Parts: sequence; C-alpha cells; structure tokens
Amino acid sequence: MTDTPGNVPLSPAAFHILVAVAGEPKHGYGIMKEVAAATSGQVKLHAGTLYTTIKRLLDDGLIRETSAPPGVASDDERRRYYALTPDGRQAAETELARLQSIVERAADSLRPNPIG
Amino acid sequence: MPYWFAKLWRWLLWAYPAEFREEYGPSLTQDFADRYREESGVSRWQLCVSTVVDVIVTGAKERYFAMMIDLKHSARRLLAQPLFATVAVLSLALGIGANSAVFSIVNDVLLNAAPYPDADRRVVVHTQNAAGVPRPTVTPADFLDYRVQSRTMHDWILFSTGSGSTAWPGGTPEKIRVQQVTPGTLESLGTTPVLGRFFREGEVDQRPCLISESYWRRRFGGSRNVINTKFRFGSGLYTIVGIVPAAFALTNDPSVVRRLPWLVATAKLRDGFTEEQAQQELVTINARLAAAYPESNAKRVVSLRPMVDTWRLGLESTGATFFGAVSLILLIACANVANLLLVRAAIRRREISVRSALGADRRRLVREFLADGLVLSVPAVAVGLALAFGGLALFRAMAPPGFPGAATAQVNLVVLGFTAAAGVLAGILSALFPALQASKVDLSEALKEGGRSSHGRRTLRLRTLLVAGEIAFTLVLLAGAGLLLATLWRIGLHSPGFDPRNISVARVSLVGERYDFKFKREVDIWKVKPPVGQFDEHMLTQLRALPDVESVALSSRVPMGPSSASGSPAGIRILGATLGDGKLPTAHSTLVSSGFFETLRIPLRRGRLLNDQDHGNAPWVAVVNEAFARELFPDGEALGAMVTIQPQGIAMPEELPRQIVGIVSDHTRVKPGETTDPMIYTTYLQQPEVIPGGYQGQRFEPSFVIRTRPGAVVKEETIRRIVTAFDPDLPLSGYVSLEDFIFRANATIRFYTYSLVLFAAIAIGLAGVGIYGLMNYAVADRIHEIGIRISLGASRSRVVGMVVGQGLRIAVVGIVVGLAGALATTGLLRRFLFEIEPWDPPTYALAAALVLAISLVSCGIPAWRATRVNPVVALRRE
Repeated sequence: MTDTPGNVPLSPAAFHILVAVAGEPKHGYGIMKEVAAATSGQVKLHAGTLYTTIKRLLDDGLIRETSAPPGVASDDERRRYYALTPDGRQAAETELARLQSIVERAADSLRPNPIG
Repeated sequence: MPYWFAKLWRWLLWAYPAEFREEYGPSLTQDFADRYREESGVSRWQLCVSTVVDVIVTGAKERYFAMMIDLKHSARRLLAQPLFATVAVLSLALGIGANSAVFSIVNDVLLNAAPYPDADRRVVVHTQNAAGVPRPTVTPADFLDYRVQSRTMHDWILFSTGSGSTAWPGGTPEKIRVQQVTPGTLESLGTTPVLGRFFREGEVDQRPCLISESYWRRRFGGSRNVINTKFRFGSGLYTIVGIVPAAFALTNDPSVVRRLPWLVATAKLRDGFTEEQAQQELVTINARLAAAYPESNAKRVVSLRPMVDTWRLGLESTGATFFGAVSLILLIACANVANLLLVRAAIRRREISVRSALGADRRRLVREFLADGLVLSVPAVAVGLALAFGGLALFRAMAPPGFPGAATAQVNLVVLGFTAAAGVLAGILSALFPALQASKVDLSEALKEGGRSSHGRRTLRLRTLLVAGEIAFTLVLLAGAGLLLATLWRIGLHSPGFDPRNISVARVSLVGERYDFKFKREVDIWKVKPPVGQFDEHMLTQLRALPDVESVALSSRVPMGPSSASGSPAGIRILGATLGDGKLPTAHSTLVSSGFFETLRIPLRRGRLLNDQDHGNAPWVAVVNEAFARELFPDGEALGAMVTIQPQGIAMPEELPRQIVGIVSDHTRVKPGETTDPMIYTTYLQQPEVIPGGYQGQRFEPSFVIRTRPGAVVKEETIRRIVTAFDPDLPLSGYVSLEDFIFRANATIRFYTYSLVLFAAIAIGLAGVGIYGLMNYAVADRIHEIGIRISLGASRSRVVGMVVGQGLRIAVVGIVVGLAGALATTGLLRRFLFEIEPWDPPTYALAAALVLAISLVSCGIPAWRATRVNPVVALRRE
C-alpha cells in the first residue's frame, strides 16, 4: 500500500503485532499468544484481523516472512514466521513515542493543580 | 474442531478475496484450530462466534481494499488514454441518459398512477357490459348494497367521472366540468381542503358544492370570502363550502378519467383480507342481489380489479415500447464500449501474456477488466443524469398538452437509484466479454514476437459480432422510426375529403328549460322548444353578416372537429325494401344547414345539395355520402329513394320519410385511417320536435362552421357577443380553428415519431463509432499484410475495396439480423400506424440503405488510411 514506514498512527492491531515480533520471529498463533500475554489477556487478536493486518504490514515492508528459528518443534516448522524489519522497528518506535506523549499529556491534565 | 464447524469454516473463508484466501487461508485455519483446542466449554463457543464475526468483517474490508486498488489502477490506466475514455464514457452516458429520462416518465405515469395513500389496497368494482367486457362502473343502488353488506372491504367511495355543465360566475355563462362524489371521497383519497371543508353526510338538501383551486383563483381571484356564497350552475343554486387543492387528481394521467365510464366505485381491502376473498364476497353479494331484484340484476356479472391497474389502462404497452427502444440504445452503447475495451486488450496482449506467464491469476485479470467497466460507468452515470435532465426538459417542451407525466415527471431518488443501477450494469456488461476473452491467453502464441496470433483473430471475430449486433439494433430502431415517419407523412398527405383551411368552429350548448324539456323520464324522450330553431337562425344570420366571413353553416358534427366522434349511428329504414336479416342498416346521421357542403368544400357527386327551399313545409329530403349509396343500395339506386331515420332503432311518428336528393363524396369523419362509414345529412329545418335520449346533442349542441377569407380571423369575443345577444345565459363552449384542431389531434403520434427518430439518430451515431473503431483496428492489425500488397503493386482501389469489403460484410450480417428483429418487434407500433403495415418493405429497405450508407462512411477513413500505408515502414515494424 501507499503507507510509508513510520506513517502514524498505526492501527492498534498493527502496533501489537509489530511489538510481538520485535524479539524473535513468530508464527501467527505465536503472535496471538504473545499479544494476549503482553496485554494480560485484554487484547485478543482474532485470526481474521491478524492475517489481514499481517498482509498489510508485509505489503508495507514493516515485517517480513522468515524461516522458522532453529530449535522449534517439527510440526511448527511448516508454519510461516514473521520478523520485524528495520522500517517496522522505526514505525513501532514512532508509534510508541506518539502513545507516550499522549500518556504524558493525559497525566499532566489529571495531576492536581498546585495553585487551586 | 467439530465437523460441522470445519465445514462452515471452509465456507466462511470465501469472505476473503481469492488471493488472500489462497495465501493465508491455511494459516488462518491452523491458528484458529490451535486456539480452539486451548479453550473449552463456554469460551469455545465465544471464540467461535467472535471469530466468525471477525472473519466476516475483515473479509468485507479486504474485498473493499482489493476493489479500491483495482479501481484506482483502472482509473490511472483510463486517464492515460483520454480519447478512449471520453468516447467510452459518452457512449455509455447516452445510453444511460436515454434510459433514465424514459424511466423517470414511465415511473411517474405507471408507478404513481394512483397518487393516494394505500392505493395498493384499493380495488375498483367492474361490471361486465353487453359485450362481456368488464368496465369499471356500477349502479348507485348496487353500490349502496355493497357498502352495507361487505365485510372484506371498507372505505367505499363512489364518484362520477364528470360531465359538462354551465355556470354563471359574475353573470357570464361558461362551460364547467362537474363531478359528483359520495361524502368522504376526498378525505379517503388523502386530500385536505385549501379552504373551508369537504362534504358531510346528510347535507344533500342544502346543495353544497366544492370548487377546484384553479377555478377559485381564476374566477374568484382566490378570495376567502367565497366560502358559503351561492354559486349557480346547471339548473340549481349551490353553496360553495370548500376548495379542492390543485394537486388533487384521481389519477396522474388526466386522459384516463375521460376514458372511464360514468360512475366508478372503489373500496379498500380490510386488513387481513386478500383481493380473492373480497372478490368471492362480492360475487356472493351480487348473487343475493340477483335473487332479490331479478329484473335488473339477474344478468349482472361483477369482478374486482386493483385500482392501480384500472388507472393504467393502455399505457403499459406504450411505456414498454419506449423502454424497449432506449434499452436497445444502452445495449448498443455497451457493445461499443466492449469493443473499445477489446482493442485495448489486444494492444495490451503481450503485457497480459507476460503477466500470466509470471503467474498472474486469471481471476485477477477478469477483475481488472470489470474494474475498467465500473470506473467508466461512474462518470457515465453523472453525464447520463445531466442528459436525463436535458431529455426531460425536451420531453416537457415537445409533449402534447396533457400528455401523461409531462407535468409531473422528474428526476427523483427512485430515478437516481435506477440510473446508478443501470450504470453499474452497463459497466459490467461492457467489460464482461473483453474480460473473459482477454483472460483466455494462449501463452506460446501471444509471446511469439510479432505474430498475429489466432487469439487476435478470435477477438476480432467477437468484435465483429458485437458491431454486427450494434448494426442490427440500430436497424430495429430505424425501422420503427421510419414506420412512424411514414405514418406522419401519410397523415400530412392525407386528403380528408374537405378543406379545413380558414375554417373556424364555434360550439354552443343550449341548456336550460328555455330550450329543452325531458317530458317522459322513463323513456328518455326530449322535446325541442321553438327557441332552439330561433337561436340557430339568429346565429346563421348574424355570423353571415360579419366582415371577412365567406360562408357559414350549422352542423351537429364537424368532420375531424371537436365533437366528430360523438353519437352513435342511427337505424335507416328504406321504404319499400324488405330487411334480409331483420336488422336495420345504420348510418351516422348529421344535422346541417344549407351551405354546409359548400362551406367545407365537400364535392357533390350526383343530384343536388340542401338549399333554402328545403324548409319545414317542403317535402323532407336528405343527402348521403358515397359509402351510404354503396352499402345500403348495393345494386339499386340511392338517388330518389325514400328513407326514414330511426335513432336508437326507434321509429318516431314525428320523423317523416325523406327523399335522398344528393350524393356527396366520402370524407374523413373522425381521424385518418378509419373505415368510411355511411353518412346521412338532413337539414335542421326538417326535424321532429321530440328526440330520443342519446341524440339530444344533435339538436342542443350545434356547431357553427365559419369560413373566413384567407388570413382573416373572427375574434372569439365577436362570437360570444352574438351568442349572448340572443340569450345572456348561453355559454360558448368552444371556438377553435379546424386546422389547428386537426394538427393538435396528431400531436401524440408526432411526439412518438420525433422521440423514436431521436433514439434512432443516437443509435446510428453510436453504431457509426463502433464500425469506425473496428475497421480502424482491423487496418492496424493487417498493416503488415497491406504493406506487402502495396509493395507488390496492389492499386489503391484494391486496398480500399479490401477494407470496405470487410466492413460491408459485417454491415450485411447486422442488417440481416436487424431486419429479422424489426419484423419481430415493429408490430408493437401497429396501433400508431396509418395506411402502412409494420412490415412495409420500402421503409425497411430505406432503413437498411441508411445503415449501409453509415457503415460505408465509417469504413471510409480507415480505408483511406490503409492506402497511405508506406510499405517500407509497415514491413520494418516486423
């Protein structure tokens, strides 16, 4: 698609996926589990959302397909693994900064006013 | 995963576009299966439901993205070829615009035929007439019984379709139209008074009346004080209680009301009852009535029909004809665009082959073409709508006054929806052939450098078929337009048997007790009082004395004039003749004054015309037309024979035998194309004083035929002054130029003709573009061959002959198919035709010749280009 790397904001699903594959390459099911674990089960990606988002991230060059990392179970070898690209890392970092600034601003607004 | 869900899952994956499904389907399935295994119990169900929703939502999104990408690419490709895109868009827009305009009219006329609430629940009671044909009419007595006894229907209303009467607003008499309705009718039809109120039950004795908004504004200046004032019309004094809004109409098509019988009864189906149940109940009630009143009701056969159907009458077939015509235009346009797309496909052949070789999906190629079609249809719909607006404006300007839909048709939401749907359909239809064709790529052939593959020849064959189809459709339209044009031409050339130029017709209704007297109610016999004859005398004398008037005559019916179709033939008894089958022969009886034939210039064949010596005390005489002499005296002599005229077949003692003293030539009575009926003319001075009902018009509604010097006009005001000089209460019910009246009578056929000619012209233009495009491509395709031929010494004429010959072969195929199509369809036009058969060979020949000529012209430019081929350049292209 036409989105360039670092084009913000990313969709929440895309952001979660990028973060999930930031460590080591994962297959689809692994991403699902990772996202669920990272958000204490609050975000559950369904298969449809997962793969349409993966397709878009692949098209945009934010992730790439890769071979299974060494040492995985043999029945997992046939699965497709996805890894973060440098563009993807940059996009995730930009998104992270954006989210952080939102969080900081929110915290500022909610802090009790010292004068009043 | 349970078996049933696995099965459902496979179906579910179809939510995604094919490519996505193939690429990610297995992963999706596996991941879902993994998660399914991890969950148990209720959460398994939750997972299934939420995943199904997720797949459907993301599938729709994915398809949408894929489509948008296709459309974007397609738009980019089309913008790169502006000439191609413009021609294609304009072609489609013409077809869409014509359909949209005709649809807005047909939609308005047919779908909105009954413009009131719950019109689809309303039924109309039909009674079979003597010929066994159901007519939408009832007797008032039956209506009252139906209303009381029916359980399946309610909201019964009865109304009359109206009759002429005279009103005296502000002292001047004028003709008005009076309609009777039962109380509650207007409320039931969903209208509210502009001012005042509608009728109440049980106030008949106070003689309330309602007037229309337009009459109120015209005659009373829209004054609010008009309510509760007295208003005199007919023979009574009424009180105006309310104003009916101008927008109220029994139907959107005013001509329908005129064709309905006198009394119409309708009711609404009660909730929960069907038309069949109501029909059964009506038949039961009718049987009860037949038992109770055998004399009047024994033979009565009743039925129900939906009100909307009753209102539509014969309009469907006209609508269908015109829809057929514009559909052909749209098909021609689609064929044109399909053709253009095929040319592009041929040009892109190698690119497509390469992509196929690299693994591009065939479905993807099909989708690309369909996207082209859709992208073209978007601007085409926009331009088409603009054309539809223009077309509607043209329709309003061209349509005869009162033509259905002329005042009300507009581009509304329904029309917008139709136009968009037609556009999308046309876009897909245009792209379908090219898509299927182009995706059938033969790799080895197409990739051969420079080879003119069999694939190329195959698309050329398809394109030839498409163009031949365009030509065929065009010929069908052209033949139809030709038949109508020939009809118009014949009507123009038609000699009516008299001279309508410089003739004006003034009509007066002699109403009121001064003139007539219906002295026996049961037998419907009318007495003519002396002032009738005095009035006739007064008018003739005064009109003849006017400057610029050459001659004046009185007639109860003016040929092809305002009341020409009124009345029914009278029985003719020939004295001394025996009746073969016991039935009297009949003839149209017309009452005239001396000078009638001279004024209308109807030639005398034998004997003499009526003159001033044929007065009341002289022996009674008659003049007949040639058809009368021919049919009533097949082997005898009409001249000198004695006859009596028996209106309604009743022998009136006051009607004396008459001698036939003259035979005049036949002339058109009502309209061109009619069968020539026997006519008998008698003078108004030799008439009985009593007239059976149904024939009063003869005596009480005289027309005065005035021939002026060429170019001179007698003002209506002058005529009115002469009428009121005799009786200030008499209205002038009409004053027209006979020539104008005849011209207006043909307004509808003229309108149909011009419309069809316009459609045919659009079709010819489109087909011309089609042939041109095809031949242009064919020449480009054979440029190598042409180059060789020229270098081998082929003459220019040979090259031209080769190209033109190819074009003509296509044209001939199209013409043959088109002639067959025209033969099959022009029968639809039969009722509009006059003195011409739907299969008229000269018209067909002319239409075919025109199509052939257009084809030749369209081949001309490509042929000329072929002769300019430089052999060296052509051969180097290899």
